[in-house]
Amino acid sequence: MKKLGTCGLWLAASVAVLSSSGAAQTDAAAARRTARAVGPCVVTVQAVVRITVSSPEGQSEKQEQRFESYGTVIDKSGLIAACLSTIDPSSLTRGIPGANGMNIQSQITDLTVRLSDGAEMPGKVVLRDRDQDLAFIRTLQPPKTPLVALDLKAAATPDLLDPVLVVARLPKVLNRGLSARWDAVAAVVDRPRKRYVLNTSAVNPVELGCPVVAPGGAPVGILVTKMQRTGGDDGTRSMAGNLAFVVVPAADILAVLEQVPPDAGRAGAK
Amino acid sequence: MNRLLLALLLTPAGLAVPAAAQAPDRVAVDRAIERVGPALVRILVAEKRFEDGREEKSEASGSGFIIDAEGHIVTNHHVAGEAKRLICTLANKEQVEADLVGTDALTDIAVIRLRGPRKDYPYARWGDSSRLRVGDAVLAMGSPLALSQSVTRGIVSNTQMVLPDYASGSASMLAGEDVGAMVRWIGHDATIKPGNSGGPLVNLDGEVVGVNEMEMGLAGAIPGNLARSVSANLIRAGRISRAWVGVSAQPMLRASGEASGVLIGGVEPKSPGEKAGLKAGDVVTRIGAKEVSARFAEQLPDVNLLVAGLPVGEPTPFLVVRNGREMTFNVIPEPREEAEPPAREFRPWGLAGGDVSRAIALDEGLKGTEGVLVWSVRPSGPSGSARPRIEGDDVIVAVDRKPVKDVDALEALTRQMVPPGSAATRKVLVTLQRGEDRVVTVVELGRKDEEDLSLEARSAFLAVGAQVLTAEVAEALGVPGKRGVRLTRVDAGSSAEKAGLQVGDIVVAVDDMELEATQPEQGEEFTETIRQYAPGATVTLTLLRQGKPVKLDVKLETSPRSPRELKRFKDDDFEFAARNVAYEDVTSIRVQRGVHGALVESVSDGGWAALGRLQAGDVILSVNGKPTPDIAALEAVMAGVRKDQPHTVVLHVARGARQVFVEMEADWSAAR
Repeated sequence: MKKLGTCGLWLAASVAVLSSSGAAQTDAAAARRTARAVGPCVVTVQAVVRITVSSPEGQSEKQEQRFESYGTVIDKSGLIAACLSTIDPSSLTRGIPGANGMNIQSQITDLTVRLSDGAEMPGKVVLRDRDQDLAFIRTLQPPKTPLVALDLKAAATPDLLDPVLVVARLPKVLNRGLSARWDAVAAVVDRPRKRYVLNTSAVNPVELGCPVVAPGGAPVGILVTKMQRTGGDDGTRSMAGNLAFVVVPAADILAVLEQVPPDAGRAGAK
Repeated sequence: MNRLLLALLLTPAGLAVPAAAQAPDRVAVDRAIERVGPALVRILVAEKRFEDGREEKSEASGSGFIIDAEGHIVTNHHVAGEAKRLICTLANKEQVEADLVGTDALTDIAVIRLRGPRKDYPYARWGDSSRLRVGDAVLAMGSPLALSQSVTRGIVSNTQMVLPDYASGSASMLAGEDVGAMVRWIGHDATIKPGNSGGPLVNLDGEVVGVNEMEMGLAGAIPGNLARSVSANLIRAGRISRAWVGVSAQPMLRASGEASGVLIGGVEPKSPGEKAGLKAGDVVTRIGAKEVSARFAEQLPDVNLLVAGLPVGEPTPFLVVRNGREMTFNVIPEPREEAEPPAREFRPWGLAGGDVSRAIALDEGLKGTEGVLVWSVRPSGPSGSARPRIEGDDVIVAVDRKPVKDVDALEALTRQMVPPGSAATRKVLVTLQRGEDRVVTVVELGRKDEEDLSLEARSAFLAVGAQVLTAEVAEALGVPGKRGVRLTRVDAGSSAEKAGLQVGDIVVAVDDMELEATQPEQGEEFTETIRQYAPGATVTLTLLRQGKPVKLDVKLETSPRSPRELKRFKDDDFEFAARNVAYEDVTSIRVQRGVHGALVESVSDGGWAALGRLQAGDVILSVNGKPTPDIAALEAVMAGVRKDQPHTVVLHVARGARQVFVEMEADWSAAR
């Protein structure tokens, strides 16, 4: 009886979930079209980072590490916006004294962009914005055919509880296929800067660097991390509890984009 | 000895011990120290190691002792065998460079020689280690933990120490060789620490009876007689030649009930033993004219030494018992090769690799020894970026379908394809043996790393430090209920100072946008609010100054360049990298305000800068008296140093709040 009761509760909960996303279900066809239209904008970024750690005693040690994450094409000529901390995790520690006063510096020594059709193009980070956890990457050569890009100028500005689509890619074990899911704006942070917060428990770290769009396809922004760098009451300076996933709005990305030199990153450019 | 025990000893009986009986022991110790002390050497080593496909250097320290007037020093292979540079500190504190004469991983003995024409070095004398007995007093001399010469005392605990089963074969491996196969250590309880390696074990006659090598509960020293013989051969020939028959010997099985003979556990394919007809399970009772027997592990090194000393190329009869029948096999030993040939860096490939020895081929299940074994690969290098990438333990067997025999062949082929100094790259088809699979890939030889010159986004900046005004602090400062930040620092010369901001000002609003921070974790609210403006914009700050409201217009500056964006200078001769001091170096108190110089970002292990004790974080103020207020000046001065090639370069550096002189000595003739 107890088992049946539990099962019944589970079923009731499922029905509740389904009915609350009923609106989503009826728009599933439109959402699919949006996801498939936006999907090609999502590319894989593979970077090798050389990290130098220096101790207060003056010793330094270098190590190269390989990272893979996702980015969003924002210009058809081969400009991509990605989450900086996923291709260079040491960027999260900048500005925070390391454990025992260690100093960490990083350099990206190799970067490849894998497009949605599987083609690979070497690239370069042309601008970093540590404060907003953004990295702008440009392919060394212009692509042979223009890329599908997210038009940040046609941005949407959703409100609390408005539904959004997160368009991402599966991990390489699943062949980096397209993935999409419904979510909703769980919070709109106004200060000090506008940020959208989705359902915290649903955001998967592999979605960082991926676009969040309104049901009709208008871009909301890109998923990044927000790191608190100042101390808590007890003066702790650590990442635990001070990290969240947020959507940096399209308008903020456009504002930083103005600082990217036109040909920066192209092979042969100074 | 505690006070109670001491008190007990100071009984009339205790007092009756004649003072003279104690003196000889002390006298003997003093004599031993006097005889060997002057020959002790502390050895600072810059040794090479291979990591991530690169040849890197690291520093290590060990001990040694001079064995002849010409300045030959005995130490361990694991101290000096991979050395690129050797600097010896003698007993009189003099520092002299040395060169490697020869090294033998199998007995962990190396010989180095002090440079220079001097031929009157004090030296230690060898004793007869075979005459040692358990209980004999011994002294361990050396430089534990790189401290200056030290002496500890103990007794011989074991004259035939072998490693226990659980440790043998792993703890005793060195460069692919099993030191335990040839060595029965002299176990003793004189304390030794890292840094004692290579130092002498000395008897109370002041003779060297061992070379301290390892510590495993008890200390272990290579027997002096063995070390003496190996070092003499190294001095004479530069290497040790040994015979190889390709059989693995083990003690007789308990189940056999046999009291004599040595069991052959296995015979390597294509080995002299196999060619002669030896088989696993044979019991060898005589080799040449010598009867052999091993019932216990302690007896095996004698057998292995006998085999290693057989004449290469000449038939030697092995008398064996097989299935109860005595048989004789004539084995023709071949030269024993190194188990682990040295590796090399192949820079155009971005990998490190070495030849495939017989031992490696056997262990890796390879059909032959042709090819180059990949030790490690640089992730961002040409081999690491290939699809599929080359991996450690792959064997490169062909390049563009041309077979690759060994490292020399690969090096010659590489030089042909991408000549040194040229910027050319070339894509080659590489054939690899990966386990049992033959895999192909394409590598772009000579491909260089991309330099990461990415800019950091600029934003508006106010050169102040601030703390959140918590409720308690607000009340204490007489502004209860107010929210905002209190300025903790105003940088001299900044627009903040020019606008009139002062330490202690409480900022409550920016352009009439009230700040809401009340908790320390909201500390970024103020800086993030500022960042949203364009650099150069003017904002109106509403302040409370001594409780009174004040409005100030402040022009925002552009955020300073991050350390990563600053120009770097890399010195390949002394192996360090430096850059200009960044704003965050000063605010993080890594560099004192007002210090003008070039900040050392990294110092490569084992390089001249590291050996001179230059440290990451030092700010170079001058080089050989010439000021270096920035990178451009440092670059110019070091170009002059490169041209003049002085033996010593003196840097004046700021190290935190202090200043020190750093002396770097370079050997301009040494190959890099």
